[in-house]
Amino acid sequence: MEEISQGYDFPTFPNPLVEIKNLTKSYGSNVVLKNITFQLPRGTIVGLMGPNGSGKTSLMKILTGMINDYSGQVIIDGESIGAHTKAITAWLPDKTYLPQWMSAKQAINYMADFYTNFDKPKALDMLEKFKLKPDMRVKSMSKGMQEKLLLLLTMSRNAEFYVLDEPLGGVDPSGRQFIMDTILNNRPEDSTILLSTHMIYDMERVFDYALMIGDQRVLQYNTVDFFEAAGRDLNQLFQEVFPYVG
Amino acid sequence: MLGKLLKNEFIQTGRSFVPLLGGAILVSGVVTLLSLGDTIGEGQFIAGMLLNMLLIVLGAVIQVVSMVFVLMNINRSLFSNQGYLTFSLPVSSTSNLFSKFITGFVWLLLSAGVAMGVIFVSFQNYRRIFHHAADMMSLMGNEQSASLQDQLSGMVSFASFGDVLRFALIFFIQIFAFLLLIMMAIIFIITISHVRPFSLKPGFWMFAFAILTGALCVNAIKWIGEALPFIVQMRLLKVSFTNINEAATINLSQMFIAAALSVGLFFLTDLLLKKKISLK
Repeated sequence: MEEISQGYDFPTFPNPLVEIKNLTKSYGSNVVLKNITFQLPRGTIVGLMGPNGSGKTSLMKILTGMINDYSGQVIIDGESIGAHTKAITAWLPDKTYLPQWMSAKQAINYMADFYTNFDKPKALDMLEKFKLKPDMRVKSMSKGMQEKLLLLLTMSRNAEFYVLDEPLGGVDPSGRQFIMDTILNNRPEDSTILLSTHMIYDMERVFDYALMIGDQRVLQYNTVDFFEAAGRDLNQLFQEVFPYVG
Repeated sequence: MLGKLLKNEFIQTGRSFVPLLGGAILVSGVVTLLSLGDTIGEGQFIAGMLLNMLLIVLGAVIQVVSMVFVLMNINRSLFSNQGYLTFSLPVSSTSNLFSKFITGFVWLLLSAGVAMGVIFVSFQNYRRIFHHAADMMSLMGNEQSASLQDQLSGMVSFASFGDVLRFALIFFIQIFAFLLLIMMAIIFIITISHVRPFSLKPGFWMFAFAILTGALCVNAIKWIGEALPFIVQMRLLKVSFTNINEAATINLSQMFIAAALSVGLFFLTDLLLKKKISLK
């Protein structure tokens, strides 16, 4: 099996959607991301992988404007994080963020109010397909229903960039298939998806690129084909890059 | 976008404030109805006194509860999970901050108005109750009742309808700038408490910054007001009332400094939101 070195030149692109240069983020003395640099191309699905605490969620929060106390440069569609980047980025966090009093229909109206790329008829159609009651309030919904509603709100946007944080976490196999189908069937073709997951086996087939972060830096970043050509599936690569230390 | 932000902010905050203020207006209406009547017995007199005393307390409670509502709403919408929604909206942080500031300020102003209205209604009810009681005494026509009647008549004249109305107006103008400052201070305190390293213990730092910011603002208003004579000379308006002259001076210099401090806190908070936010 061919050895894949760490620290090779990561791929660059002529007109990247996302450009990150020398990004450093720390929580007090705990440095999570140190001087990382990479680009994300347009129209691809990028799997973001790494062990717990490796900075995946922090990176996603930086890209979506939830964290702004970092150093370095983060550019999306040619602009620093701000109103424009937020308008073209759809973000699915790993927590329910809707106010408890809101009903599913109110949440849809709220999104339609703010995002010009929000497709309200599509959202209402998905609401019906997901068997969610329009007037049901968030506080009355089960965790699974809330997750469906958040997925619906995210994928009803015709965004250029989707940032999906662990959409498959804690979901049974048929649920995982449902979520993946929803994501893949509703994204515009030229959009980019950055999706973090530990379910590498389920996701490998849909990723174009694999981005592995840990030890404060990017450890591996290339096309899935590149890794396959080197004789690794992503599961093997992950175990190689992040060997389990009991 | 600011219009949409304001619309949604008012929808969200209205869920707490409309029942609060509506309830207060309803209660004062009911108490007023109970205080009406051409005749008054001893029991009604005492009940009327107590109910209207409670109305004055209600006026104060409305203000405190309103501030708590404003504080909770800003804390929840910016720094709980709901912050994910707030900060991912395609608007500038300045617009976001401005919408929260305006919404909170409007509710605080309305609450102050309702609180003063409730207290005003209570005063009017007292006047009516005392008038009735005095009339009843005069009907009885003996010496003891005449003395009581004199005392009650004296209480009735403690402030006329016009006096109370003008006092409320002056008070309302006076607190306008201070409500601006209170509102901005609340947002600033919540924001800075959620910035590292304070975010490790936001509750403690919120309390500490509340004391610090409060002390700084109060002293700044006092010291700057005294240090700048040309501003002090702006203390122009003085309205004479029957018994409440002192309370009716509009202190323009203090209003000006309070407004200036609000603007300063706004930009400081905006800077924190742009550069120092790290949602958990």
